[in-house]
Amino acid sequence: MNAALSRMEWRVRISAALVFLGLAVELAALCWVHPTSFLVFAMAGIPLVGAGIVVFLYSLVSTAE
Amino acid sequence: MITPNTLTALIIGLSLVLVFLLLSRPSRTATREGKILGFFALFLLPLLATVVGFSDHVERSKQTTFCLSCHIMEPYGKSLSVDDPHYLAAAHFQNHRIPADEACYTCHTDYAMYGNIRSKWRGLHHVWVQYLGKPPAPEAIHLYVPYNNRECLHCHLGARSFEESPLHSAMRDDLLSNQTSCVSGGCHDTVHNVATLGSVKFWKGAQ
Repeated sequence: MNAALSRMEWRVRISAALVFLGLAVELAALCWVHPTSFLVFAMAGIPLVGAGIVVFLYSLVSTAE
Repeated sequence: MITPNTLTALIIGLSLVLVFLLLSRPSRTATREGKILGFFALFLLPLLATVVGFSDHVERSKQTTFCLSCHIMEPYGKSLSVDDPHYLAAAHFQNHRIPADEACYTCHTDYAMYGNIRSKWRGLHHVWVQYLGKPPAPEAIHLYVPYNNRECLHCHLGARSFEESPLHSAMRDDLLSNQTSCVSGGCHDTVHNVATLGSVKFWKGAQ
């Protein structure tokens, strides 16, 4: 049980790190009015946040392992 | 009044604070409250922030300042201040026939189904060429396809100045079917003309 919990914590931490980084990129892109900022938002921010959400959802369904 | 940009920044800021709580102590998710926090911080709010942020970026990309932030577009921005009513883009911009803060987008989007998506796709292509291709000189930039009268008639069709013009009435069918172009049929063919900007006067009021 403890091992499963720590594995979940580890995944939550990875998820949180990805989401944090992604949101930071999105915030930075939002403060910059330039076509490149849209690319940064779409090609770095969205994939990072998306990956973080996927890892979080995986951590939920894999807690029973 | 709170702007969409500020709202997006607030949502992202709140998300960052909540995510940091979990990043610093992931064991918080062991409790029921922690799981709810995790759901909000790592799923709902980031998803909302991304959707709202994307929408915000799409809206911002319609702004004149956005288009003119690229160096290559500078002469086109300058052409909006030409002090000559024969310059089509300048006359529309200076007389607010188009929204001054969305001038480029208003004339260069497609007023058709998925026109907005197509114009954004073209915009991405421009950025791609800017960074990974060989951008042309400003005066060598051409439209991908001939300018469609639909974009002009979106506003002008039904307007008194258009409908009561004998020339427009005589050519109405040709204009509607694109057989005669508004901008290259010899009538309104001075549009941006960036190659001649060195020899024209500029209206100071637009700056």
